[in-house]
Amino acid sequence: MRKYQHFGVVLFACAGLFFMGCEQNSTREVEQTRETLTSWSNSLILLEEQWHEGRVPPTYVKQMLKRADKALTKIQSSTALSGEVRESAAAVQAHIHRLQNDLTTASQHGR
Amino acid sequence: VKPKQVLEIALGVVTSVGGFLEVGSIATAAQGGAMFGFQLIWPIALGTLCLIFLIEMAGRLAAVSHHPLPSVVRERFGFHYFCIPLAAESVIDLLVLASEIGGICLGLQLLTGVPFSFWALPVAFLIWLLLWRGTFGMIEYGVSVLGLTTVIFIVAAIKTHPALAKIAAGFVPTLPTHHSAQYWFLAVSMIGATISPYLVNFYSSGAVEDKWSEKDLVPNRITAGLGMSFGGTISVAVLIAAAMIFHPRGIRIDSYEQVALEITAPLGLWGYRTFALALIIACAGAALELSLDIAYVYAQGFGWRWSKNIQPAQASRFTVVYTIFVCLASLPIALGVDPLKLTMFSMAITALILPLIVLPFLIIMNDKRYLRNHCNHVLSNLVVCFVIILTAVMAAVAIPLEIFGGQ
Repeated sequence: MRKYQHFGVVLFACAGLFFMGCEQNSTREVEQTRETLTSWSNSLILLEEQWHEGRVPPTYVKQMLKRADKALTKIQSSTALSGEVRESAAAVQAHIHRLQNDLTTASQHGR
Repeated sequence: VKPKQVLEIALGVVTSVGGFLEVGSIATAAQGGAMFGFQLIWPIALGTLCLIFLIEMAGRLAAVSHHPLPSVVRERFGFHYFCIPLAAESVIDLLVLASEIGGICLGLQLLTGVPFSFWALPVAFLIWLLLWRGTFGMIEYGVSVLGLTTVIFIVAAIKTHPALAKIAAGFVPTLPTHHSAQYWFLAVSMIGATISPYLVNFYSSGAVEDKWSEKDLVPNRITAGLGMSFGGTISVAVLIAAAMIFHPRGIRIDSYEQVALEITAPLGLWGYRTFALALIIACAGAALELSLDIAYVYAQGFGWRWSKNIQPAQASRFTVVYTIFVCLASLPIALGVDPLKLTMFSMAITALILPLIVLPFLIIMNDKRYLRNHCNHVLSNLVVCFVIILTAVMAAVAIPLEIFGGQ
């Protein structure tokens, strides 16, 4: 019986460690998602600046927007987003859409 | 050193500089600069130092023994042992070749807007055609001289006006203050990208093709030292430009396309086009060298007829090997595998596998039967052993941490 008690304690400790690990992993995942979103948001700002200054061609802007959209879709499909992260994702999404519209307008005006 | 040798040295240095940068060095240096500023210059410096020693040794072995490395490994250690570096090199070369094909396709995507995966098969065919039709000289000198377009990274780095004191501080290894797992993973990948085993084999096979003798030992030493140092400088320039453009803005490199921004910010539209062109040329050069390298390893190890200067029909098994490898390597890119992820993975695996390839090489370099009175000095043994073992240990720890999401 004593042997089983020890076994129970060990099992309980392992379960505790496992859940702590999961907790840490999920915190880490949220942190990484937030960093990825911030990085893409800043990338889009830099891209927009450079496009307006004529430093990059529209074809490049299109490629980058596609990439950003793909990264965002991956984030949205893989994580249960917290409120703050969801807001950041929505902001990046809005930026992508605005740049896509600007790109369409620019191509219609032959720029 | 005679005037003719000065010309050879100059050509050798240009070739080394032009052929140094490839998809792995660009990706790892840009990521390192974006995430950690100047803090990760030291892995490039350490890798370059080790590569200088390895390249010099490869040239010395070929000049003194007139044998390329794989055939000596087989002769010295026997066929069963030879299968280990053969397997290691096959895996590394295939992964890195796929990454290089991905780099060429990305360059073409940047120029045309056509997605990279559509370019994989035409690019593979063109590489194969160049290998089939081209001579060793054309591949070695032609592509490498064109590869000097990668000097654009130095121009971009200078135009960003970095603080020299901060650059100098980056040469001293320091512990990370954040994202430790990614720091070590990047450090390992950067060393793996710098010490590419294919460069060593390709250099030694080239020396045998060019019929080097003991009179070429001094030019060999100068070419290895200067060529690799200038090449390493271009890698450092990629990191500096990324550290100046991406790091202060909190941008990480999540896709290869982003790297173009570190050139366009200081250099504008012409920089964009030159970057795309440099990426295509640098990766094409590396892809040609890698395809030849794997064919050299198989042919020299199994005792088949080999040379890039004879007709494909006269070295049919040699030709079949590079044909198979080019076909296989194009598949992941044609299937849409992300070139950046593939590259980072390939570079880290290279770092892990390095001891299997380099340690037998060191034993040979200390064997008087092959090197006579030109065996390694203690310093070269110590430097190479230290860097290779340190890198492999770091890789063994950092790769699982990175895969399982450590911070």
